[in-house]
Amino acid sequence: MAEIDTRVESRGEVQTSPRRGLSSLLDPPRLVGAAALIVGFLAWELYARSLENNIFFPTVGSMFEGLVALVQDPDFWAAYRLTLVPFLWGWVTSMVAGVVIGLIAGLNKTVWRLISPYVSFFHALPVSVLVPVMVVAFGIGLLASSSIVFLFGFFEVLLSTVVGVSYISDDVRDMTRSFGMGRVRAFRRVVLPGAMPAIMAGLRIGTGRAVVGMVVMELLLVSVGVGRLIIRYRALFQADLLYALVVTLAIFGLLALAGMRRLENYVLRWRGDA
Amino acid sequence: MIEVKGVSKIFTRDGKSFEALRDVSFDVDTGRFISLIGPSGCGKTTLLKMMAGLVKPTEGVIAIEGKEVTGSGQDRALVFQNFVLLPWADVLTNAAFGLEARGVPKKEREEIARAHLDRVGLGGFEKNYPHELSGGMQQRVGIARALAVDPDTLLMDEPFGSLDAITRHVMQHDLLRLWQETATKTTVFVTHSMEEAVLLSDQVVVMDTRPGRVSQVVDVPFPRPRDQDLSDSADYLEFTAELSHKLEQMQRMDMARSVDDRFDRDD
Amino acid sequence: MTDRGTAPRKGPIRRVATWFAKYWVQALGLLLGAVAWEIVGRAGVSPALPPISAVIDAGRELWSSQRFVDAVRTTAESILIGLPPSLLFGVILGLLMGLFRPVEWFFRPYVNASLSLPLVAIIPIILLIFGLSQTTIVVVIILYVLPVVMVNTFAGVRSTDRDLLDMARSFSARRGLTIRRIVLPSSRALTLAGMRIGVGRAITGAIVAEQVIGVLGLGGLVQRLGGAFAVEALYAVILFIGAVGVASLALINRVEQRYQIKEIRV
Repeated sequence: MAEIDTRVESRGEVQTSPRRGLSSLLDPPRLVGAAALIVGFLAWELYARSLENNIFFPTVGSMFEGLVALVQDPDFWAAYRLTLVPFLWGWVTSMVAGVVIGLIAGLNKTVWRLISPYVSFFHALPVSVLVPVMVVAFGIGLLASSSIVFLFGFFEVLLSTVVGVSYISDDVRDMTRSFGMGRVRAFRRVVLPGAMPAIMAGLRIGTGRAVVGMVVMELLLVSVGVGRLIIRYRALFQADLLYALVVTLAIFGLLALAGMRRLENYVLRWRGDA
Repeated sequence: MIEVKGVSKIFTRDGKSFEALRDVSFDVDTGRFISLIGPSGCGKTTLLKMMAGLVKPTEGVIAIEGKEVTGSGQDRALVFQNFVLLPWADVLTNAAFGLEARGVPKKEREEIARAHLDRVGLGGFEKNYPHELSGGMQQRVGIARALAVDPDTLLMDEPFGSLDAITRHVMQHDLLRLWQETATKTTVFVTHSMEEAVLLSDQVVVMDTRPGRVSQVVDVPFPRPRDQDLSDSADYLEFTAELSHKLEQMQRMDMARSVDDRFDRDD
Repeated sequence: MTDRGTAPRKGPIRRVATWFAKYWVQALGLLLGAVAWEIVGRAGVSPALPPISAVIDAGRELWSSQRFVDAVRTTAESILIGLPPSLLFGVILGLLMGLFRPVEWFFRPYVNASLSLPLVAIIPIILLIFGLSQTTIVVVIILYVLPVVMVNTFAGVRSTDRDLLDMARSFSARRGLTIRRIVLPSSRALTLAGMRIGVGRAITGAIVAEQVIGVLGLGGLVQRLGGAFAVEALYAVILFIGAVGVASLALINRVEQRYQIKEIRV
């Protein structure tokens, strides 16, 4: 309750640093957090056990068993491989297009003003409604599924890049010009590095969105990948496998985000204490 | 009477300790106005906060009227450098905040607050909001808020530090007049400006830094009631200049020391 | 029109003119886009790109049709059922998290998880449990909105200026007074921001869930129109949904602006 503390600061040491190393597990926040998860699992287990059958709600145990079964099933890995192809296509193109167009729009006010109504519209729109449009346009093949992932990631990256660049350009353009620095040079040495934090953040969030797009694509398109497995497990009421599959999707999302965060910290390592 | 006896304060952060104050002792007689002045980092604000009861000394004791200070109390009120008003409340509510904290009922506290706002020259501004007022006016609200709770001791932490030079000058003289006209309260005033300290105080406590400690306690020889003319008088200017130079010297020595430290430290 | 007399307010014509002067490039962009759309559409480049005139025609027919009205009603219903309690409990829990550290530590793992994981992935599970019903949609809305509102309200409480808390302490203010007069007003901005995001997510969540279910609400309508290759009507519905999204965002922005804490200049 330190924030709303009405007590006087105590004598002597004010412990501000969290414990390091293994004893960090004993940190009250982590302890209570871990306890919260344990309570959650317990409640789940108890409820699941109280049910007559577990076709909607598996026990925690059977879910973990399902997870093990999946990992050992070659069909599972094949499904992911098939899902990953459109994901990678859509993700990479959305990052690249988002940054490139974002840079152009961020540097040129007129370009931005021309496209901003569209960007605002698509940003406020639930992107998933564009899925049927993609299907009509491209069928149900790789192009359609990749484009869905693309749409989810693109607008986020675009917006962040535009904001990042335009914040820098204004102030700094005058400064570089007063020193006689050429525009290309100024861009490379000053504007781009300055906009990097915003761009990297945009890439990270955009990646999260691309993963969401991947799942949406699997759910709404006739799928040969993970979506197919989802339909199968649901139809056969194999709740344990379904839940386990969803867990793998969550893990995939976490990994993607963690990877991007690593990249972000590496690129922005001059930032010091991020 | 405020007694500061052997007060020390050590701050620890991430294993490193910082000695803010070392063995500070002095007394403030009841009803007197004293200033704490010194270079940055000499602990004057920390000392003030200790008197307010917001910070506890690591060693030593601060006593007011014989009682040890252990926390904030009804007998003291603080005025802050950044005004610290509630931006979403109007001037009247802000001025009445201290009273509200004491549980004074609405009608009564609004009456008292109104009276004090009049005294500081803000009569008629009760319904305005802080963002509509200038810096000087906002600080007046802060002062009204502190005076409204009728404290025995007034504690002011560089109250005019955020104001421009002209406003500061006006506020100094208004404070001087206000303090001399009304029931004079024991006041401890932290400042950076020697002119301000000499103009307003009966005593100036000059502090040195790293670690924070008392360098000198100087009595201000000018009789009360003081007024506008004092700041133009030659005696005042001379007296102030001498003390200022001493202060400046301390500041320079500290800056030199800190550079040396930077080269000596192996981090 | 050129009366420069004492009238402080601009006439409506002047106001439109000022607005236009500011935004004429954007308006031009929209106009060019519409023209391009019409031309490309007429050229028959792709079945997926009908001319905008056809979309408007189909729209006019659709927007007055029963199926559209039913779809809007279903979606609106779901949101009206799911959103208010999510906002309410989100704010309450967020406040509790902000005021009491143990509460924060307890909810942190859940809130963090729901914000960093692809929440869409949980829809198949909800579907399994609650079936192809409106309940599924409502549950999805709650799961989408609750964590976001919680986190923003929490951040709002934590963002309270330390100086203000010190000041309250210096006057020996009790906790209750400090919370009422300082913490709550101070957290308003972020709490409102959280609610704004929450509304957006409610619409998104509802529509995605409806799309997965396939037969209910606007999401279901979109899926069916796509399946029937009724492209013009499909676009009309998408434009409608987009317009609703933009409008609700603008509305809440207005509310946020009104409650904005004005910066105190020193």
